[in-house]
Amino acid sequence: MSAAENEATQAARARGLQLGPVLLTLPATAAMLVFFVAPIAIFVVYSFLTAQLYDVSRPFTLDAYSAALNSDLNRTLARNSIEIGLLSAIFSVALALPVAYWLRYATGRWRMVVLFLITASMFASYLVRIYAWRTMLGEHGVVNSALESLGIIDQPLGFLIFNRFAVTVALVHIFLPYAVLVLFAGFQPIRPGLLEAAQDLGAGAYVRWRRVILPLVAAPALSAFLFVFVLSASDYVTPQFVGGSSGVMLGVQVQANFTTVGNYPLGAATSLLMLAAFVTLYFAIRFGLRLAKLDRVRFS
Amino acid sequence: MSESTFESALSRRRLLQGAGAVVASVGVSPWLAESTAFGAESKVGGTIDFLSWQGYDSPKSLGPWLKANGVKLKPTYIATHDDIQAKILALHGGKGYDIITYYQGYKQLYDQLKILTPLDEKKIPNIKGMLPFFKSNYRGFWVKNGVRTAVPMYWGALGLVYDSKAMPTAPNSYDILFTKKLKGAVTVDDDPVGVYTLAGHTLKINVATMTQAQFDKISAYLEKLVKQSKGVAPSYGDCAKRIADGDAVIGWPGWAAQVGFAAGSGNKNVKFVLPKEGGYAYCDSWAIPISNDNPDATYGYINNAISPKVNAAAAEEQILGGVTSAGAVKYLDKQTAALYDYKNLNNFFAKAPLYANPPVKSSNYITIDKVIAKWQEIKAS
Repeated sequence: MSAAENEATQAARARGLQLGPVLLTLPATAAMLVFFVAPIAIFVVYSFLTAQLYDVSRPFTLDAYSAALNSDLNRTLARNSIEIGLLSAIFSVALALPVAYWLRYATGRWRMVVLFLITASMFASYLVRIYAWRTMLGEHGVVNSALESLGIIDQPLGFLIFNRFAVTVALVHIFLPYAVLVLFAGFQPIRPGLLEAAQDLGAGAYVRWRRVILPLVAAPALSAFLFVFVLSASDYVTPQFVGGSSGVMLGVQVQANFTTVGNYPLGAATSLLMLAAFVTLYFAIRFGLRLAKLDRVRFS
Repeated sequence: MSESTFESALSRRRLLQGAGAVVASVGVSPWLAESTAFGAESKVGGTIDFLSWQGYDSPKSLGPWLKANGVKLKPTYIATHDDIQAKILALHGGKGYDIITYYQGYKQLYDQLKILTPLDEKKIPNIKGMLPFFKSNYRGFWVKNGVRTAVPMYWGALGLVYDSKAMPTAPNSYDILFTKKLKGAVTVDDDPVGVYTLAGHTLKINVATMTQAQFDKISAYLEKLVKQSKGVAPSYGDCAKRIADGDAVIGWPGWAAQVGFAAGSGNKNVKFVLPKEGGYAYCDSWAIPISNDNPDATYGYINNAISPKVNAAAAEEQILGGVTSAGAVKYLDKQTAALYDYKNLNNFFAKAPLYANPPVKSSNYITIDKVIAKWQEIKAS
């Protein structure tokens, strides 16, 4: 085979190697384009158009953004969304970290069984899980009934339901399995030998956590945090069922703009502003990781 | 297969079909007898794409006609009334949904959006047998300028629902909602137009023609009421569940159907009452949207729905519903018949009027977007 032929063969192989991954990712890319990029693009266009009743028309304008940003109501609802999202994300990650650690290093051959038990609640309907918390935390719910029968309280505790506490509890329960899964995946590459080496070098349990484990799981932990935060902050079903007045969130207003009011540009602008807030938070967290030099920690 | 065998098979099939039709017609004949006239004249068949509330397809009472006429009903259930216009407009003039129901308050909006088609009354002969009130052109909700766009079907009133075990004496005024004893025991439905309509009625204000001062007055009333509650229930069903579970004692606006919802959740003590101030009524009517592509079957379906026996059966299936057919009253069971004084419906609707929604656009009156925004603000306060 001549050198030229050899080069041509290698180039063809290289082309083949490149084509394979492209073909494999094609369905996912197409799905993302159709179901994510295209709707977002439509939203972007709509958000700059002039609102008609259940319709849009030219000219292009910034009116919708101005209305969305200058609305006191939107600000209140956005604050509710962010606070509820942050609380849920903090508690979910705080609870998921030790669970994922235990799952990775202490469950042995029962690991898959335990993992299944943790994720089993995900098989139940979303609304069923919310109503389960109503049954637990209600005035005549399981918690109050148990406390009353034990003689600890005379009257039902009213603060358990229809407030942010109830919303946070329900959202943490709903999203905890996701956080555990993300963190479990984060712990997977950290071999037990690393912890044993730290122990051999005199590191106690606390130092091992702080100096070895936390730097290595910082990035997955923040991924889990973001995941739970975005899903919780944009959730508007749970707060309505267990949240009371303090649980109304921005998603409800977006829905009202599209359906009841028929103001598509305002709905689109509000949801894009929410998206922008989430993206900003993502980059802020990445920046924080970089500042703390936790974004380049490698396992080997 | 030889030709003779083929003919023989065909004739056997026809014979079986005929026998099946006889058996089916014996089983459902009382209901079908009143609605066959239209079916015989028209080409009924195919699929009816149904867009309305879950339950309004009343499968037990409206199902037999579908089966007997070989019509398939494909339901799309809505989560809020606004899903109706949103889904029809999303078709951009295309075909899809054949039948909808609309609450009378939406008539003005639907006229503006031009999503309703004029109905041919000749194709709905049972209109002649409707109760005079529903045959009328009351406030232009169903017939406007001589053009009918809807046939009234499901109606009732909104007042209060309460747990009769926790509150043995039925509340006779909305004032009770503001008493110290009921602080934290009130539940409010998340129905922006509904809450403004009922509060407006109580304060003697019509929400369809509400001035800024009147709007402020109603909003202040609602703010006070929400503070009495532990929050707003996202749906009428959830409101009933809160009372059924003991998380609330009284629900506002209360809907008779919530009695059934609460019973389904295990509490049979929940009752409906229309206090001395009255309430407001709703009437959901059949209509044919511009996206209809099976008019014959749709007309047949509507005509059957308002035939006396079917209409009575549907009202009972709805749990404590009202009928619109005059001939249906005698077929109602005692409990459902006792709900409304059918001989004096005008008196009932004077006590609980049918209101229009706030306008979508107006320079004189408060518009619906302001109502919704204010309600969100009150909920979040």
